[in-house]
Amino acid sequence: MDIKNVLCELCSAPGVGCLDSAAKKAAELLSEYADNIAIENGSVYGVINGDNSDYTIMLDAHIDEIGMIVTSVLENGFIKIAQVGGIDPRTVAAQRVNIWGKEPVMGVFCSTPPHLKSGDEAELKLSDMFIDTCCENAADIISPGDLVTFRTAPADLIGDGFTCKSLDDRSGVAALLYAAYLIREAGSKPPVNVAFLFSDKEEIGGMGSATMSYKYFPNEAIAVDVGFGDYPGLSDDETCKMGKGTMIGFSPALSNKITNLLKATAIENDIPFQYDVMGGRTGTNADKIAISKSGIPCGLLSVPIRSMHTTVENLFLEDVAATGRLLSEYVLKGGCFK
Amino acid sequence: MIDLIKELCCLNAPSGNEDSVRDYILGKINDFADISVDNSGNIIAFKKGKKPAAHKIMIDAHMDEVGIIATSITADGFVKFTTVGGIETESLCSKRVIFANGTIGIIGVKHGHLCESGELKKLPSKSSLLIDIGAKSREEAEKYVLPGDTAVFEPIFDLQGDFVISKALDDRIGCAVLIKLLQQDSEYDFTATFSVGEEIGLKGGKTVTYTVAPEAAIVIEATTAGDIGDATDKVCSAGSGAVVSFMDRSTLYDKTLFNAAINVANENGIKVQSKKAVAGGNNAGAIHQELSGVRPLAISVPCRYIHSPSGVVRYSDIQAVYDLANLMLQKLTSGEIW
Repeated sequence: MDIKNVLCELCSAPGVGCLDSAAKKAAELLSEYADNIAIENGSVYGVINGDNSDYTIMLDAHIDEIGMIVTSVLENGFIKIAQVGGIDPRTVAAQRVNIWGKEPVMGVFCSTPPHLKSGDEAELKLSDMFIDTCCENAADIISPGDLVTFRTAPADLIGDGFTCKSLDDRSGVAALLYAAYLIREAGSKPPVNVAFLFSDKEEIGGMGSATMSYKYFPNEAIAVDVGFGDYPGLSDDETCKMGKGTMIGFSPALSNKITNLLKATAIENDIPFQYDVMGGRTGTNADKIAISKSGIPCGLLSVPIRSMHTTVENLFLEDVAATGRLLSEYVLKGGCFK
Repeated sequence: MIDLIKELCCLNAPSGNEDSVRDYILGKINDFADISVDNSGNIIAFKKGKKPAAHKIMIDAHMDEVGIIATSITADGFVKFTTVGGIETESLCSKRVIFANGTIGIIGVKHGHLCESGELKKLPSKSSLLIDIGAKSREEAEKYVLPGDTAVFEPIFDLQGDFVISKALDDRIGCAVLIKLLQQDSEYDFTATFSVGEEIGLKGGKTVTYTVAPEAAIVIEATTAGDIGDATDKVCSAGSGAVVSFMDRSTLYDKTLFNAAINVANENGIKVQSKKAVAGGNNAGAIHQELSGVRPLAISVPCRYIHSPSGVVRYSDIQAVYDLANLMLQKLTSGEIW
């Protein structure tokens, strides 16, 4: 499986709010490996059936990206928006967007003309900002409630560097698809069922993983999201190194057994990994999955990226591959609690 | 003309490295004028008309765009840089650049989640910004980028109805207008100049004026449009026609020529506006005070988000600038206006 190609396809498809192109694309890609794929309330769910059909390991990555929603349409062709998920206000000026009205409209986030800049920098607030619809009859095409996504095409950096918007969490989805591919490559059936959940709405509260965990209630789960890659000005404690492997989550909110088995599996198989240690809440779907119903033991893997929640998120493909490989090797062991 | 503008805008030519644009322009005008390139790298194109001109008129556009120049490579492989020409921090944050050798760089930020709340509400300092090309070390980075290498914003050219969205509209629009003027027959002689180094202090504008020694000069430019969001201090507006300036921060324009341009526009049904504030500057600043003085006229396209990756102009305004520039050139060279 060409991880880069899969990432390009996933990142190019909008997926926030009611926009379901990303979910559909992910479902299509998953259908090569898994069965009974359905899209429920925006989340994708499919299963590779195992020898032991009574035991299910669920792998989760979120399919939604951060975006915006139109709050008002002005007469002069400008719109105001609110965020859907955390938009970094430092990074939006002069960014290109797609406004998903009756038809897609290309827009531009305004930037302040130099002559209007005052010496004192006012606080950056998304609610003060405008998007230029570059469209003469904006009000005919765009309405409050329409979704807006950033318009950024994938690009190669040097080596196996890759950049695009929405690596959070399409890189997690790509890692899961890579794991599915590897599981299939290993033989006809894994020892246990492997469920693939590409959950919706992680960025606005994790509702997709919460509701789908409730419905399907697997025996154990591993969530896959993105983690904080190193950057000048950030300490080694709060970040992991780019290009040095998958990040294994260590946290009181996660299952120690799963965490330890992930680590042992990585060591056994020479898969590069790093320690991603948190004191409690992980800030990922793992938090919701772990407390579903009577509880689902849950682990966490993350792909290190830089500039999280911006259009210039970037990663190294080898870290996505390491993540997918670790998931497949873990699953092929049959899980923790049989 | 839109294809010309698109091709020009997508070339990589920051101040000091105008070669690609110069070569492109020479290719387009070689058959239509007597060409020379001076010591500064300016193109001087003498257009032979059917009759000699009553006055020596120069029409100028600049070839260079704003960009960045690498100052050093950090031990971790990031590229430190400074700007070439004026670029606001918000136009750099979270944007992509492309170096002359095709290497793509991203200007990232510290993850918003890890910033102090105060830090997230204002832009980082321009000097703290770093370009990430995907290198894992200084040694690796230096195979692709060295101090002194220049880059420009990633070229993405969008058309939507009458709207044009691109980098470098300032001043590739001017270059396209001049190319078109040179490619058609002229009643009277005139000299078109494509100048270098405007963005770093009107360098080429000065030196080319010394060589050409015109009596009057028309500068074709892009200028800041402030008609964004709910702004009241608009300076000039996209869609309101060609901008003729009476004064900006470097030039008090020739009143006779200013009045004449407004009248000619009105008489010929060309949409025209004047700037409503003294703001901005262009080559006229250098041209008018060279030698023993040159009478200046500026005709500009209003451009939103100028000096950003996503400038926005109206094609109808470009057409108005072309029509007005053409008429003024003819009327000045014929002596009808003086």
